[in-house]
Amino acid sequence: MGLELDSLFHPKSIAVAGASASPEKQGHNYFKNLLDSFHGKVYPINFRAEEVLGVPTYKSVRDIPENVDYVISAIPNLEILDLVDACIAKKARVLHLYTARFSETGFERETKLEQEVLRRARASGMRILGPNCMGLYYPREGIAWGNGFPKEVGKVGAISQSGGNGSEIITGGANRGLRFSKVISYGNALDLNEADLMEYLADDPETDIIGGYIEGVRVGPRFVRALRYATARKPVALLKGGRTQAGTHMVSSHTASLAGSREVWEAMCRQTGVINTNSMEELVDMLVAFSRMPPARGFNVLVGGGAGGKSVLSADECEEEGLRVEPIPADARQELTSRDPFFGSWVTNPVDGSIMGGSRLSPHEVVTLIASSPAYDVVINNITTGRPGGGATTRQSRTTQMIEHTAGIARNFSKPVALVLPDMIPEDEQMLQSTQEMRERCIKEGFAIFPSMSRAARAVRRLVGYHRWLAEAKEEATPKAAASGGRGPALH
Amino acid sequence: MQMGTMTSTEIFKKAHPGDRTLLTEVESKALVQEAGIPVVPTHLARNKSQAARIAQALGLPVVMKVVSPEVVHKSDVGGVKTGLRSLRQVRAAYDDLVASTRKALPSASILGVAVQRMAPPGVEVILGAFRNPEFGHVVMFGLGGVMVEVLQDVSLRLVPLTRRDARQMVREIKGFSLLNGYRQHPPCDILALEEALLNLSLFLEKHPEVKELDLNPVFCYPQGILAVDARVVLEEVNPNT
Repeated sequence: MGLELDSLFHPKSIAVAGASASPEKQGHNYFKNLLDSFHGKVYPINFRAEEVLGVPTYKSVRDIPENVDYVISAIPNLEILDLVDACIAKKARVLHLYTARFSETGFERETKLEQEVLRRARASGMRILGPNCMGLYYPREGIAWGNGFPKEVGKVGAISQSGGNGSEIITGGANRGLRFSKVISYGNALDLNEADLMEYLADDPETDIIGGYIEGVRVGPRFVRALRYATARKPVALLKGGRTQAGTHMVSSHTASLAGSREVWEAMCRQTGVINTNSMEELVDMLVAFSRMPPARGFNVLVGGGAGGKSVLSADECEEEGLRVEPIPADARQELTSRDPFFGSWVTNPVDGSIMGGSRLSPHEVVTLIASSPAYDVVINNITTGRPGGGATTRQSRTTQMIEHTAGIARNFSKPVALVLPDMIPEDEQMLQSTQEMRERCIKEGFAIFPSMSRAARAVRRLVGYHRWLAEAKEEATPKAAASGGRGPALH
Repeated sequence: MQMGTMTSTEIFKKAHPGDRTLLTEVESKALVQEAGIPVVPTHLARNKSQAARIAQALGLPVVMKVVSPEVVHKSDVGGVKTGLRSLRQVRAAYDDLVASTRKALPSASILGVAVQRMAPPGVEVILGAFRNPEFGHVVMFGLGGVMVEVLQDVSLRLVPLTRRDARQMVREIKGFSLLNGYRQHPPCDILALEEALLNLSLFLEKHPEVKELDLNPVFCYPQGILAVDARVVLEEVNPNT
């Protein structure tokens, strides 16, 4: 469906119009990143400087001796039409316009200029990415718009109308262990739009999970179709900007006045199986959950690792997010009491680790033992960092123990495990260091880490929701069910 | 007496040349009927003796409402009379409805009065549709009256609806338990509601010219549902296209 775009993103040569020696300029960043990492040829275009970063420049794209596949424009909009013509002359497949101040200004002259860019591109078959966008981050090809983006390749693909939010998906995700197949910032969507790019990622074998930040939808019905196509193949989590904007059209009926753009967007997500998130944090949470947790069957959760009030609150937050903190079933209870009659009959779900002092069972053993029960679909574990006492060695061995048990649950029972590691203010330098180490080890182990219980619980609920939606959609797609979808008497 | 209903093609054709976008109740109901949604038979009377004949044919009691393309909310202009139990009341109601509409909205052109059999009361719901600028037709479902107006307790889905969408729409509203039976009240015919939502979706797929549609209220019974009022607004036709 969307793979015809694939060749656009595998250029053999890239020219950067507006490649600059000044590190404050984005034209510098593009060029420097390509110079460092891109496997193909890179041409700096700059009609003032003789060379940039030691590479001799060309005054115009036209002066490049060969054809060029991909051109990045970081020049002012006034010079854009000449660049478009030059790119067409050099048989460029894509012109990425970092250049801004087009239709997004709302001004007539700029909007007309944008339309002229499109007209010339369409006439030649060259595709436009943007304008007003950061473009492509494709680590496998060594293409990146940001200096600190991971060089390693992963399975998360994303589209973002905003470059800044695209960067946040990449860096926020990277910080929690995510790696990306490709992230495409597409700005004004003059040519390549949200539906084109969603279709592409849906079919892209390098992408297993799709995220997106969307503001305006250019081609609604096609986007809906692309989303249905995508969610049947891989999970999609989206964040919509401008949700609260009131509808601008005049309405006279009840129906129309009751439904703002937010409600319609939410309905669209429900129908297409898209996970609709409400913030950048939630969006990244979902990418973490889908990347790092296997499908969960249901909403029954075992909560571990809290102490006292924390475990009480953890249970509340799970229930409030729609998970069920189920009591320990009889057989697991029996096993617990046989191992330790006193603590075994005292312990509950949530497992309060602080009561286990002097027990024959460690809190981790208790959680592992209960987690083996088929009564639980998923485990969420609080990671304890703030417990006073114990030196660095104790802390380290605690961490190792926690990681081993968590890995064991995930491995032996094929259950999703979420870890909660709050961003907290450490008591001392040593603790800051050990927390950081723990965090890094957890990420290295492949665990899904969340900064709070409620965010973990929400992500788990949505994870289960997607897999349930998928199962139902497959059921509904069987010929028997499809036949009942129309007019006439109800078929049950 | 001629009481046949118009087909959608006839209604759209009749409305468009005059660039009239608000269909009358009688026209709207004919469309809804054609969409496969049960609706109270409603006929246009152009004078009071015709009103009496229609009332007699339908059976008393009846409800009468003024028919005017300019009147958006009929009760606001005193354009609705319910529980008319005799032909004498029907004739008098005709004159009253015309008079009060003239008084409230002198500019309104009055086509006549819609006469319909008074439907037995049921749980009131609203089915609606509108066009969203980004995604096209959207279908809406909610409980009628206060629930929709004050609490805005509604569910939405884009056209086309699947059976699962229809099932979820009905169950998603907070007031679902009012439909599903509570205390001594038997459950309403949920399947008939789902069917109506699916039929509405099919109708909208076939008729992109529909801009807004309100079935408010629809009465829900233990067996079946019945739309007792309908309002359809068409897209404005751009003379340049």
